[in-house]
Formats: sequence, C-alpha cells, structure tokens
Amino acid sequence: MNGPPDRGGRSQETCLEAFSPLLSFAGGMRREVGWPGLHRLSASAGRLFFGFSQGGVLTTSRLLSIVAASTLLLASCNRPQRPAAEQSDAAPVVRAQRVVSLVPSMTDAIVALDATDRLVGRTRYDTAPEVADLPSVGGGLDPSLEALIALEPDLVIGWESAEYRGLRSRLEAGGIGFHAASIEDTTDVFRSLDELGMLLDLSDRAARLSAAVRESLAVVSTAGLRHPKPTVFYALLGAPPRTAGRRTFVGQLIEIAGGIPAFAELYNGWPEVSLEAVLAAQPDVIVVPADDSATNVADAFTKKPGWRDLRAVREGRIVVIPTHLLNRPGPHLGSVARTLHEALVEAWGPAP
Amino acid sequence: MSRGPVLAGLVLAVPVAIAISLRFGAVGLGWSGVWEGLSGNGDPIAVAITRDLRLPRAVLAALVGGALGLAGATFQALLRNPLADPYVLGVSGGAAVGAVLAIGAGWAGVAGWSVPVSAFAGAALAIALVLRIATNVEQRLDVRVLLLSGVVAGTFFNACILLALSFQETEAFRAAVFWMMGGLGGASWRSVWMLALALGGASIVLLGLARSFDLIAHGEETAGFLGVPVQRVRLLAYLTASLLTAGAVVAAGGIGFVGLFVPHTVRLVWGGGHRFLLPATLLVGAAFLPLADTVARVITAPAEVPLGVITAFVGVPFFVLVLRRQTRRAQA
Repeated sequence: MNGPPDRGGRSQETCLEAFSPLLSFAGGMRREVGWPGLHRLSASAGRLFFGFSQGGVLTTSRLLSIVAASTLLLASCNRPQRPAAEQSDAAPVVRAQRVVSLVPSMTDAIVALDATDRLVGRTRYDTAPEVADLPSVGGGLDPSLEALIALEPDLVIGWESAEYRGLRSRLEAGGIGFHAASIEDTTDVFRSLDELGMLLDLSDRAARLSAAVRESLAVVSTAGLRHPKPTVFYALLGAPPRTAGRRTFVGQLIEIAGGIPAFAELYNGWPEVSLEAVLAAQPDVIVVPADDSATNVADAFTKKPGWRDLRAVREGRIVVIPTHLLNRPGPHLGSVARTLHEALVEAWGPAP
Repeated sequence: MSRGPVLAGLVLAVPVAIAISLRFGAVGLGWSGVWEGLSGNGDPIAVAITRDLRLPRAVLAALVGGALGLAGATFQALLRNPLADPYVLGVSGGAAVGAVLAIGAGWAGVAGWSVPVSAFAGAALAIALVLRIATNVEQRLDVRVLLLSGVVAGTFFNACILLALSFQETEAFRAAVFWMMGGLGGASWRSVWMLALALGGASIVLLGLARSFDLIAHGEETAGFLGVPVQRVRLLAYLTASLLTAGAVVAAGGIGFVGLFVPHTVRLVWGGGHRFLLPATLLVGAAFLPLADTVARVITAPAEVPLGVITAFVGVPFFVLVLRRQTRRAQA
C-alpha cells in the first residue's frame, strides 16, 4: 500500500495510525511506500509538519494530542469484530444501481460479480482495465465529495474509518447510502462478499464467488511445502519493520501457503517488530511486498545493516510479491495464495 | 566546582551512555552477551545485533546529540537569546526541505553527498531568511521578532514538505517520504563517519570562536570595541551551526528540543563562559541522546517510540521552566 492515499497533513496521519489494519492493505495504495511508511509518517508529523512550522510548546502539545488521539483510535480499531448482522444494518440500500466503491478490494469484488455496469466511479488506485475508463473521485480515504455527488450514486462503499469525518453523514443526508467495509482477515473477505451480494441483490452470484475462492484456497492449502514447514517473516520495510499479525489475511495466506508466520504470538494488525527480534528469530523465509525485481530487492537486503546477518538473506530465501497482490483482500485471494505458495516452493521446496 | 573535573566527568559520561544504549534492546543479551557480541566471538546473532545494529546507532545518537547541543549553544550565544535553537529557528526545517528536494529530485542516487550538501544549503538559507525577516521588520534584532520569524519560516518549510508529500506517488518522492520518517533506525557507519567529520570540524571552529562569543554576550558593540570582528564571527558561526544542524537532520530527521535544553542545563547547573559551555554542551548532548534513544527503543519493545517524542517529553517541561525563569527575572 502506499502511502497514505493522499496528501500529507494531520488528518492523514491520524488516520494512518488509527486505521493501520485497514490501511495496511488499503487496496488503493498500490504503489506502496509500504505501510510502515504510513505509520512513521505520524511520527514525523509531530516532528516535521508541526514541529518545524510552529516550534515550541504548541508543537509538542499538538504532537501529544495526535499521539493520544491515535492511541484511542487504535484502541477502538482493536475491538473485536462486530457481528455480521450488525454490519449489514449499516447497509440501507438494497439492489444498488449506481455504485462508487472507495475500497479497491470491493471494487475488484464488484467486477468479479460481473456487476461492473453498476459502477459509476472509481478511485485513482483502481486502474484495472474494466474500470479504468470510469471517472475518478480521488483517493479512497479522501475522495472529492463534489465528484462523488456529481456521479449521483445510490450507494457508496467506503472504509469503516473516522477519516471520512463529514463524508458519510453528508452522503446520507443527501439520500446516498453508505456501506462501511471492515476487512482484516479472510473471514472478513467472505463476509464482505456476502454483504456485497445483498447490497447489489446478487446474493447467488456472491455465494458462488465465495465458494470458488474457498475452493482455490483449499487447493493451495493441501499442497504444502517441504518439511519441516518454514517460518516466514512478512516484512514491511521500515525502521523498525512491521509484519502481518496472524489474524490478518496476509498472516492467514502464509499459513494457507504452507508456512508458519514468524512471531506466531502476534495476532492482530500490522505490528512493529524490532530488527533485533527478527535476528534472534532467524526466520527461514522472508516475504517482501515490492514492485522492484526480486534480484534488486535481495541485493538491497544484503547491504542493509542487520538484515544482511539474517540466514534467510545470506542464503537467498527472499520472496518478492508484487505489492498490489498483498494489499487487496478481495476475490483474488485464491490466486494470491497460489502465487505465494509457488514462490515459497521455489524458496523452500515442495512437499514430499 | 572547577571546570576541569566537570569536563572530565562529562567525557566519561558519553561512553557510559553508549554502553547503556548497547546493553538494552528488544532482545535481552546481558552485559556478557553484549561484550561477546562486540568482541566478535559470541553467538553470531549477538554479534550481528551489537555490531551491526546497536553500536552504530548508539554512536550516531551521541553524534547527533552533540551536534544539536553545540548548534543550539551557538545560536543562543549569537542571538543572546536563550530560546533560540535550530528547531525553533526553523533551521532544522530548512535542512529537511533541502534534503527532501535532493532526494525527490533523484540526486541521491547520482551522488551520495548531494543530500547532506543540499540539507546544509537549506539550513543556511533558512537562518539567512529568518535573520533577514527579523532585521527587515526592525533595524535591530529583537528577540520576539526573531522567534516570530522562525515560526514564519518554519511554516513556509512545512508547506514545502507537505507539497513534496503530495508528490509521493512518484518513485523519488516516495524515497523522500521514507527519509523523512527518519529516526535513528537506519544508522549505518557511513552516516556515523559523515557526521563525525562535520562535528569534528565544527567543534574546532566553534571552540576557536568561544572567546568572541563571551565578548558578544556583553553586546556586539562592546565586542567590536574590544577588537572582535563581529560580522565575520557571526557569519562563520551561523554557517558552522547550520552545518551541524544539517548533519543531524540528515542522520536522524528532525529531533526537537535537544539544542534548546542541553545548553540551558549546562548553563543552569554549571554556568560559565563559552570555552566551558561549548564543549560541555557537546558532551551533555552526546550523553543524553543515546539514553533517550534507549528509552525510545525499550519502552514499547519490540516496537519503537519515535525519538522526537522522548526528547519532547523531556524538552517541553524544560522549555516552560526556562520561560518562567525568564519572565520572573524580567519582572524582578
């Protein structure tokens, strides 16, 4: 993912911090800065954005308020998933005809449901040929309200995010339905497909799509890898790096593909892990989301202090997966699992 | 207390701080593990952690702390203003803009030195701009006008950085965004050597100017009568302090308040002329920052708190204290 989908500034940071789980795969962010970036941004926010400009006490109080606010928001992010029933209450429109999805994985799902004709807009991160001709409303987290309203949608699908501030209420005041998507793990993917099916009145198709995705995941998970199973460290580069918790779709994809997430004790979200701890853990394989070539990425690792001391780096067991595959928890989950599995087979070896 | 033993004590405090910084981290190694790691015959993981991660980081923290402290003491001496520091004056912001532009323009890949050079140019331009605004408004340099100018310049640099951020979808600017997230996490021996060189040279220059600073403290006119080439001293000192700021910003991003409260602590605790104040400030900064960084690395391990948060937590109460003292003194 990339950076905050958008312009810098305070709102962005708050959101980054707060919605790390969401953002971590926020589909939009194709051209990734990597999301550690995002997170760190908030830190630099205090330092750079405000610090430099205001100096002094004001700065710090502002920094502190950001920290405090983010903490609160993070806490709210970590609350248990709401039950599905409650989620669908938030979906006032049934059989939506004019839809704008601000969530790229949901856009993918709409295309996969063969309902592309219901889409009337896209975000600037949706560049698939099926939707590329639609008018863009801007970023997924900071769309232009004017552009959205001008498209006269009857349903807008967005993140479950405080980042929208007035957006949701203004849309609803104008009679436009808003559905908040919250997708962190594979279960959420299937739930969101169900919800989408109801919203578009395409429940049967959605059920078939879900079944197909489940089937392809099952196929991958029976394939397995050479024994003993490798421990896999998913590395979102930063200082310190971040990884995927076990209860995120990336953590689950690693297990489906036959690996064991290094730091299995980390469950939720996208926690920071100090490089020291990674060195102590010595994972067997490192998975890196990147758009650069695998050789370049591996080369860069062998030059980085700390990283170059990892056995996986020295022995060349670095798996590079294009970023857009690992930040869209949508209908392509099965093929992503297959890509990951094939890459792991190459790095570690096939099951006996 | 006489000054010699104090300086000797501070010289010892720096390696102690670095040792403490080496000892603690996300992975518990113990003193013996750290020692074996450093000597290279311990467990290879301990060797990697201590030699490749903790040592360059601790040394870089010491250098950054020393550079910021010394730069702060210099600005305060020149401006005879205890609230001056590279951060408040917008000099750090100027350095950051310079570095971001160099990275964003893709020069970093062409020549490794372009980022520090560009940061230095940014810092020098920033201080020139701030002084210019301040002296344009009133003929003589007024402290309040100066601080306001710092805020104004800082706001402008802030806008430049936000503008750069909005270009982050291009490859080069993404690198710049990464750089800004800075911190000491990316410490390498290359950055250590670069900053060590800048700090070494700057210390020699500034210590040579210490006597002039003492005289300038009594007023620039008086200093002029006593044979100090005030304009030349000021120019040289501003440039040197900007160089230090740029070096610190390139190495670790913006870290506030170190340049403000370290010189103050030294002045409040020991007092004294600049021949003592400057080296003492350098050493206290160099001892303080590795300790602050240790706290930043340990309190939420294995995650890290941004170093600027820790320095702000120490620095802000201090800033308030200084302001109060000043006001009281003015009232008395």
